[in-house]
Amino acid sequence: MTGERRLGGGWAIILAGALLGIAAEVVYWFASQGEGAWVTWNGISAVVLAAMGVAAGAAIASSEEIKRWTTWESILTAVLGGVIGVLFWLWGLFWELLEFIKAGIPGYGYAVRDLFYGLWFLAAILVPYIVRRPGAALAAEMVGAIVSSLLGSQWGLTVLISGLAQGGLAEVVFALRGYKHYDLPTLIAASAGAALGSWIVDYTFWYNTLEMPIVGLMLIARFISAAILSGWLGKVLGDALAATGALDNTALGRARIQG
Amino acid sequence: MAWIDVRHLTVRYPRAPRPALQDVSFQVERGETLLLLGPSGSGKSTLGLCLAGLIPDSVPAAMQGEVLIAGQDIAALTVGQRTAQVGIVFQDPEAQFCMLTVEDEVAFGLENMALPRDEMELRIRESLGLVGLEERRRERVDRLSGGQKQRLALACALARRPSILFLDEPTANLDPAARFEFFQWLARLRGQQPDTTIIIVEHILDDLIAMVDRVMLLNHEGRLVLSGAPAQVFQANGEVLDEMGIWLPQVTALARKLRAAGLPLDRLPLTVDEAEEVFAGLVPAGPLPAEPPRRPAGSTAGGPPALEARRLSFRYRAGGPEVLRDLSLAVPQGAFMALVGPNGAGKTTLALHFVDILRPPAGHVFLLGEDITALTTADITARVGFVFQNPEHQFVERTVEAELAYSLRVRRRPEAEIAQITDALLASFGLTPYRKMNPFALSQGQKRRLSVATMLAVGQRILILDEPTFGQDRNTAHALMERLQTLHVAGVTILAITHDMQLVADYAGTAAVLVDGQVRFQGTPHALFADEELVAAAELRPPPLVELARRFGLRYGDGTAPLSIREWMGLLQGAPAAGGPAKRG
Amino acid sequence: MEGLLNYYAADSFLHRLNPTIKLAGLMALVVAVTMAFDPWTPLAFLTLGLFMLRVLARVPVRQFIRPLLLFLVLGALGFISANAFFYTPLPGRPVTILWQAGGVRIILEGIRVGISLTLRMLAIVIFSMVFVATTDPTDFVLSLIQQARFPFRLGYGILVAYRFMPMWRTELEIIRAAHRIRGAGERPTLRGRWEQLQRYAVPLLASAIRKSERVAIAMDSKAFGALPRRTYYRDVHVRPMDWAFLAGCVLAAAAIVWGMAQLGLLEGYGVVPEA
Repeated sequence: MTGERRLGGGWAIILAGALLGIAAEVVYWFASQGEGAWVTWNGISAVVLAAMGVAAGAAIASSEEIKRWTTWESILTAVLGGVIGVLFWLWGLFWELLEFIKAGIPGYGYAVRDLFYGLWFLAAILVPYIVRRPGAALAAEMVGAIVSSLLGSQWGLTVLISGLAQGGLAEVVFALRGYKHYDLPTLIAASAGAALGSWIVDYTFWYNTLEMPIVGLMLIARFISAAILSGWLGKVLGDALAATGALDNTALGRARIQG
Repeated sequence: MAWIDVRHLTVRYPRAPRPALQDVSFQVERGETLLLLGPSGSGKSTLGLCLAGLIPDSVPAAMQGEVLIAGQDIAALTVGQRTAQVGIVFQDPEAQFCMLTVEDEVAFGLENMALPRDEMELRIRESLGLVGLEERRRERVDRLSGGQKQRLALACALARRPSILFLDEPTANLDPAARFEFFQWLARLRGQQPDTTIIIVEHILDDLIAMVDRVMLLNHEGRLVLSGAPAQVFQANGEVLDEMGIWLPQVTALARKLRAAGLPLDRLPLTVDEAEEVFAGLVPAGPLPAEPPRRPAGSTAGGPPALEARRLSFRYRAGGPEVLRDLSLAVPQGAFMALVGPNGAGKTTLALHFVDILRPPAGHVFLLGEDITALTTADITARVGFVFQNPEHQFVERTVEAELAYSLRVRRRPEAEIAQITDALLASFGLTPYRKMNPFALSQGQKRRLSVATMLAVGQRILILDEPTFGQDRNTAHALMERLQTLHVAGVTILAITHDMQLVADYAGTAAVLVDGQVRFQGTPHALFADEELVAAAELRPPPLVELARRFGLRYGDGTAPLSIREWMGLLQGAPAAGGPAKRG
Repeated sequence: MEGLLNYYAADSFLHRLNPTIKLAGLMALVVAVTMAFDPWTPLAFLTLGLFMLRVLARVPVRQFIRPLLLFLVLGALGFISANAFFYTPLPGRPVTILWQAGGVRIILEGIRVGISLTLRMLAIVIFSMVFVATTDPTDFVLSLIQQARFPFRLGYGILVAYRFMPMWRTELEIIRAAHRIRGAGERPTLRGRWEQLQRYAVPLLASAIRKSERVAIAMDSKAFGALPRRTYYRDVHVRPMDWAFLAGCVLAAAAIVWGMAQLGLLEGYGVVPEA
């Protein structure tokens, strides 16, 4: 029997991401050569390009994987992505306060706001923690982005690109762990990936005129925030939900019974 | 050849202590309408999922035995073929649909079958016509009422032209008027499509039993214990049915009790029509008492009303509709009051005012005589307990005992006292074996008991309940009502928002009817059901015995009719055994 | 995430376009406006956006802008203040310092860039509005499935999630009320909000999970995904005018950039105007 070795979901994602990232770098480098070139190559642009490429690769490979999910997994992923958005509404006035801080304290205000940014990645951690299939992080983020763009939010269409970058980079972390390990360090690393993705998109759209210290501070704030508000919180909520018995038919539920 | 042939079906869910269905075997002929009865957890839904071929693929479970439809073992069919044969209507109107508009939803099932568009168009029109929703084709599903949603679910199932319909408690979440309407459409459907085999799971049988050809009973172990025509099954198996808390149609239950008391009845009636014949010789000749037997309506002497609203108006947001309009209602201390009315009439809104969740302006809402705006939250929660419709919404702790202790801990009572009260509550509500469990992991009935118990922990003397028997089987509902009755007898004031006519008829001492934000009626359930126009406006259905009383012309002196089994027993047992019908004008 | 903007049903050129291709065109515009750092180019894009919204989509702008007003103002303040202090000037470009004290300085070019970013934000918001206002959610998801090769189970999941959204808000309100009755008050402090989040998340998410399970079973009972092929009742076509729109967007972006460059106003895109 000529067994055609199909690329496992995780490896496909890693490979596609790496290839796309490299391709993007090469193209950009060439475009930055010569007099009157339209673009400049530097360290930041290299990171941005690589990350966007990786995220896009993860997206393409994931979408193949997601086609294999069951109905239950798909509906659960989508609905959770949406519900988590409602939890944000709880903090409504608080977000407004943060907006005032952001506007009021020049530059550093952004970093303060970013200390609470991690909540946006909760879906990218909680859903994979429950469902444990390739593509879960990306799916959760993309659904959240699509639903929020349909409902209308202040970020408009850029939320679609953010969702892709956040979900894609979180997905890569889970892929690197083989989709088998969902312990706290993995969740935190995935949340860091999502934070990096969000930072890259926001940098490209809004913040690339600012000094490095400010922008760097924002990145660090996002890392910290992501670790607490999505990495750690994701695990806490996932475990609490599993204790209610509602998740017995999911991968998380099954893992708890054995573990 | 039987259309459905189930042989030794055993189904066990992963991690379940025992099988959901055990060694179930039966046959159903084509075109039969079969009623499936059983306590909750007896595997009725599981049976539907098996017939539709959803177990084990979509719903993981271990399945043994065979299911044959039209002579073919469904295990040999593909998922597509299996689901084409059985159309299911589920219980929850909120969680069966995935599309935004009515026609999209019906089309969904047809798209999955890869039908061409003109065929889809034809079937959409046809199936919506069968349930009376053609006018609403383009509407959004979330704008439909509960009853319309369930009819839509029926249309979706019908559009796929299955040979078998499985209706899993389709009216559990509907109000009485909607339930009646649903069964009327179902009856019409049966007439139009006599070849469709229908299996229906239900608890409230009065409006349904006329259509049923056969009844099957599953016990709590998932075994099939009874099967046969309704009259025979109910006739011969009283003890089994009682033990499992199966609620018979009201006229049937009455007839059984009369038989047990020694009165001669040639058969057990199932419907009001049949009862009219069977009871003809038993109706009393003498006059009825001037008034129906009264239930204690609470003592108003020497005490302010437990809850009172005076000329209360409310709208949720400026410019929005007025949900409560100059409403006045007083609930006397010690009363057991049922608050009824159509959806959206403002019942829950009013109740939320009584606990200060919605803040009324000063001078409109009073708790034990004091203006609620002058009280602190701690004062209010010490006097009134509010049990929400979904018990899960109120759980704040991780274990049952912590849940009970919560209100006490928040008030910083000494630990010894907390432990004592907690143990007492666990015992009196039958929750002691579950004390360490996560509240969310309890069964529906247990959750409900827990939510009621938590609301009494601080010794509250007033209890408000929002739809306490909603979506429950009769056994659990009855147990809860008995518990409330015990509390009532001990002096607790009870205000229950409900659609459950059994509750109103058998337990409530007073009923208040809310329509369009105003109190249209406050009085005894008897007076309520005597007013047909009011009953229609409140979207209620009176108990069947009221209709029977009307046919016999039985009236108390005040114009109301006997509506409970107890009253009828009293009346009929005192009557002469023979003689012609003694109808009263 | 309340619906700040919503689908505004009307029959216009933009309403009739294929959603995925419309999205692609608008995204091209969004990306194009991102690459300019002078105030004039985003202003031109903004004008184009308003034209699309008012004329091509026939959408009344005012009702859409109002809920966003606070955010837009704060956003603008943020950009301008941050760039005033922390702008990184391009190498070789003049830097005009308006005020300096210690290590802190206010840069004129920074303020200019801040204004540019504000206009960029407005342009992107307008383009987003154009999309949301002219696209029916069901059509959008179906188009993603049919044209963008989006996994179809997840696509229908999005419709379910979208359907459920209003329900969660109500349910959250009920949960909050229920907890208040238990005596679990809400403290407006940061710590309080953290506790609330944990307390409310579990019942809300548990309810969502259970409902999802029931919906999934209901969908499976209708043979969802059972056959290798499925047909669609609502067809979302791709017509020549969709491609025309996409081409139009790209051409418009190019025209604006080229025009601004000709006028000597453009900065960014690697173009540095003569000093």
